[in-house]
Amino acid sequence: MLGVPTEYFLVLSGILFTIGVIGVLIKRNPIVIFMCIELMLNAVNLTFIALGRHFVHVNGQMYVIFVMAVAAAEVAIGLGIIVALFRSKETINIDEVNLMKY
Amino acid sequence: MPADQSSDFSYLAVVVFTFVGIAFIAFNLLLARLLSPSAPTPEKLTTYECGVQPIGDAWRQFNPRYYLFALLFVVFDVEAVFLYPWAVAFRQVGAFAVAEMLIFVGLLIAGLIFAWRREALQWE
Amino acid sequence: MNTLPVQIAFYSLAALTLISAAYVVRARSIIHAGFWLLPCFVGVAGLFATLQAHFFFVAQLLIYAGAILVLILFALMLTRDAMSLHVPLKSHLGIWAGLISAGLGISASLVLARQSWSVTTAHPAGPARQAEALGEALIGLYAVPFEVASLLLLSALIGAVVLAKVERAPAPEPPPLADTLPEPEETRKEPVGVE
Repeated sequence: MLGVPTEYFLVLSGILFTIGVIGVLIKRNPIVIFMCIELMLNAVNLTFIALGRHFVHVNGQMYVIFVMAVAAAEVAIGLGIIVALFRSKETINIDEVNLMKY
Repeated sequence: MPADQSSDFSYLAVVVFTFVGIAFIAFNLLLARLLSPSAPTPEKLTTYECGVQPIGDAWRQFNPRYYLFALLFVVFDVEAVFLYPWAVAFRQVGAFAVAEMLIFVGLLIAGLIFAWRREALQWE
Repeated sequence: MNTLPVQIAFYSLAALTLISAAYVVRARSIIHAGFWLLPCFVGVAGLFATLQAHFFFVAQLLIYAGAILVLILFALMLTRDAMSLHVPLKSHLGIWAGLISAGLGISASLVLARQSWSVTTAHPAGPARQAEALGEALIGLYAVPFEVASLLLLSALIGAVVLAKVERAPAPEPPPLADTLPEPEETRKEPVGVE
């Protein structure tokens, strides 16, 4: 018998994901939005690991490795875009940046 | 029972280490506060007791070069995480695993060479 | 396995994670939000440890708490002047968005909790065996995604180098002197008008 049942982890990651969603919706600074996306990705990773333990299968853990790789690439490119945007427009307010091309 | 056979790896050492670390810092800060005399005067509260008055904010826009190095660090950190399970398992799989990892690392080395050729690694 | 220590660890780590995640969202200053991310990532790493996913305990600390957090803090410092204090950090539709997503999250959690998850009795493998199984899957079944991940990292690397490349700053122009300034339009046109 393992210490904590699986559904506890699932509910926990559901709450964590919701906190991330709220942050993405209400924040204006794209870097803070990035942080909230990281929260959501962490919640999903937690779900994968919990279900991987539940079904005693390596697939759950496999997905987490790839999610981490994608998250790292996403952060590298996303924050690079934000920094480049800041250097060219002097603002990163998400409401003022409304052009795909500058 | 050897460590890799047991189903429950004990995190007791990690927990103890964490709490000892927190307690050490808390204890020393508390001790410093209790033992040190405190007699603040306006001069003592300035940033530098002698020397020029600091102007403006301590937050400066800093060189974007640092950011590029952090980006490279992130990419190679992820690569290290991929390398670790491979290093544990490659003995069972053999030559195929080595070839795979050579492709994996080779692609990233190509990226590193690209960064090098673009002079992204140079500190001006 | 002793159940009680694991439960204590779970509840305290869950509290750490959720409270710091809430502070990430509600922190006034963006730099505080960045720093609140650290206990959140560490808490998730601890939760991985309570799930006996030893490798991911380390990977979470390495990638999230180590690399990604550093990158986010660097980006905050680089764009710091952009969000001046008089710009509100939140958008005005925030309350509604928050309510809707909170409702969605709570209902999803309820559905998940109501599902009867049959209790597993199987013990997860030890750390070395887990990492071995992971490596075997990575080389065997997941060989193609593994190489694609490398390609993804390569493109991220190239994109980052192209984006973050500092253009060589042009030589600073000498301050314009009064006599070298171009004459205003009207004064140059005036003689034409007189003739």
